[in-house]
Amino acid sequence: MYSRLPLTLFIVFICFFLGGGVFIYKILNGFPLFPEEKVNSWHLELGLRLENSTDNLELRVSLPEENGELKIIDSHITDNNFGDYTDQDSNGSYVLWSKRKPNKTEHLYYRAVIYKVKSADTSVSDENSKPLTQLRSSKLNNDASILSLENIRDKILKESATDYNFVTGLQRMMREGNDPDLRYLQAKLSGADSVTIASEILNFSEIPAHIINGVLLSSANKNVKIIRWVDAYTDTQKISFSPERKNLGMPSNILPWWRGDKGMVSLNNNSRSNITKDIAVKRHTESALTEAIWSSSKIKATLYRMTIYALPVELQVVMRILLLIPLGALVCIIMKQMIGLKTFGTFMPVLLAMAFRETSLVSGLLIFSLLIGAGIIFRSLFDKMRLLTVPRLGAILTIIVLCVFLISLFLEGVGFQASGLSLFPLVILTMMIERISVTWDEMGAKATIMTTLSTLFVAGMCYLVIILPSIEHIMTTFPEVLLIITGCMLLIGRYNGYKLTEYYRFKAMRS
Amino acid sequence: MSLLQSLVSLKEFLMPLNPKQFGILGMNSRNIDYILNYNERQYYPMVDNKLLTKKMANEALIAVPELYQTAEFIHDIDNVLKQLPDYKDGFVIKPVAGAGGGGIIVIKEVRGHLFLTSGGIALTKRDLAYHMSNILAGLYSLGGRPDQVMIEKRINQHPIFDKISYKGVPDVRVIVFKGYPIMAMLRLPTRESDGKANLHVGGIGVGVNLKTGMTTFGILKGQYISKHIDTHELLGDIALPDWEKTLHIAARIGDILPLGYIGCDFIYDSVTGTKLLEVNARPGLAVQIANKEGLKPRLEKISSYIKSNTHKNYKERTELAQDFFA
Repeated sequence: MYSRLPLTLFIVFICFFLGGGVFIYKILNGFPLFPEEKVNSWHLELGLRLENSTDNLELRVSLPEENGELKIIDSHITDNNFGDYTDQDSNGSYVLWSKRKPNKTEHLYYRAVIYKVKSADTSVSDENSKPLTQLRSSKLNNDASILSLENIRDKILKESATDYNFVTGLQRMMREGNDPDLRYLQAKLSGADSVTIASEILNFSEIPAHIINGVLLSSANKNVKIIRWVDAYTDTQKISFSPERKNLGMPSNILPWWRGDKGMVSLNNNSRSNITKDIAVKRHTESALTEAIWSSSKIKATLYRMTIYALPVELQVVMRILLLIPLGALVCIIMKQMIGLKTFGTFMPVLLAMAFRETSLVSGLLIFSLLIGAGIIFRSLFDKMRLLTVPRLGAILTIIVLCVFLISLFLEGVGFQASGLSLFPLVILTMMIERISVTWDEMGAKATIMTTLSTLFVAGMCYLVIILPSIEHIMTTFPEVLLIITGCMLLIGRYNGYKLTEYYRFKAMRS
Repeated sequence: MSLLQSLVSLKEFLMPLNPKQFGILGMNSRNIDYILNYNERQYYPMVDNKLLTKKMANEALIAVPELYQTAEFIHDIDNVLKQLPDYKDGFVIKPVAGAGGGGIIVIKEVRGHLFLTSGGIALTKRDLAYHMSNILAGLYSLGGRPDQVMIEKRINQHPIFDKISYKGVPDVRVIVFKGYPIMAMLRLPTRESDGKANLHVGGIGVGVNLKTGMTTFGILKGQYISKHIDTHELLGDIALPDWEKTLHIAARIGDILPLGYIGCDFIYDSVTGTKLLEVNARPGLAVQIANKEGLKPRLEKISSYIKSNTHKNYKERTELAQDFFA
């Protein structure tokens, strides 16, 4: 009998040395061990997909603007042999992209890091922040509409002394939404939102105002929606407001993008193209990371490139989940090899934990039980029909998908977000239902229930580990920790001691 | 005093038994120190595939249950079904690569269109066809791989077991390390185990004295018992038939198979005697509870004996093991 221990220890040492070394070096260079909340920055990415474009394609895409609190740093444009030209006009800054012979599918990207400064500079000094001259919509150029506009103006004026109060009054009236004149305007401008109407009323009442479009900088989001609001210019100040909100002002983490009623993307030169756009944002809260981009230090910039923040935002959102999987697997391994719990499927608990991460633990467990229960009921029905195994598995899978669909319909109906359901590992769930049923037949109810419960328990433990913000921070900022995790797994791979459950398994021998 | 007592009982509750003290072989140690060290994966098919095991045994003139039929594809099932009514004395349907005793159906008698199982359930041809198609799809195989069906001759139970088995055939598991039989256990079916002799489905494990082949006491779900739970007959002091011969076969398999740590399962036919049922490359640990003794000291004894002694033949090895572990 010869030992494989020295080789294992050598490889484990290399893993710990490399992983730990880079980890410590990064910390010494100011990478924070814990997530900080003080300084906020976001990665922003606008992706455009152009399909079936005509020749001599030229498109104008608005770019985000800075406001007092949000600064844009490190912005760049990625294109595919497109000519690009950036400029500013009264609608804000924009980029003109052009190409004589575009391919069938083209991808264009704008990426930027948005940095939130602590002391906001709110004064309206920039030449560019003057109000846009908005012409009245042609649909309102008739006597009845003008009469309604006058009525509304007079009604609000009666109750307000200043321009500021006028805006407040308008917001209140629009939120209540039962003024007959207002309703008339809404009918006249069918398809227009309340922001457009508010802007029309303000301009009519000689308070300069324009529509402004922006995005909410949330913690991590794909397919970010455009938010619209109104900037009104009184003699003394600029008032941002949305008719749907209760108070004046907009949240500070909304990034203004462009002004006016036009879209973000427009085509010039009679060119045509099918354009799909996607905006993704992802927040990172590490001041040091943002500083690394600010500073010209080569070391920091190189180290920064070794975090997930060097990747496109869309990939970061995926990578954040991916980097946590090995950690879940480690928990699973400890539970199985050292504690001695039995689970269905080798890494099924990790996949369940990933699903729970999207759905939250309690609703995740609930959905899991529902799906497993439905699956077992249908499986026993299919068993009576004497089907071949693979078609039977397919039928169970289909039933499970149907159940997921019904559950999400139900959740939507009672007003819950059911987006996390998509990550439920359905195919593996199907195999698990099959295993549960077979185990039930062969080993009896008790063993089956015990194994199911311990699968859920291990999944819960994995969930509790990967849900911690500090753990997620460490895994995303220090991916070299993966080497340390590998080392731990190799060590456990050579663990030949007793499992905790074996202290109980043989207890009869005591007598 | 009472505090001390409650502390002691708390410790006993939390840590009922220190496995190390009893020389128990744990699952991790079995895998790392024995299976990974002595059983090379390339030889697993020889035992995981029961047809290959049978072929190996036939070549070595080791008796095995007679093979009637095999089916590899769905369309073979019809052919097999046609033959089944001819096996009037009953037969056994098995997955070729089955794990843990799953998927085995024992047919005791063919009566008209019906097949009676050892558990007394009447099955039709269609039931059997469905079961066989499940086996082929890999429902009972390791890792769910596609499998084959084998139909074997049913064993006539040895009269010695009539009183201590419930609707099924008992088997004897012998743990063989480097060709030395080191521990053995008799496994008895119960009402709950549904004709199967596997312990994890509710079968009874009975310790066996390696020297004499006499049974000691039984273990059922972690509790020691002296009587069979269904037949209420005493489990101890039963002399297993042909004990010497059984151990000799087990020791010989250690020579034939290039696997260092195995469990050999034997059954006894009242007419044709001891037969090798199957060989397991990952034998379970329950044999230690049934014998009230850990495997580790026995394994270490053999390891150190081999180091300082010349190679022995199977008869010598059996004798040595019987002396060591009497």
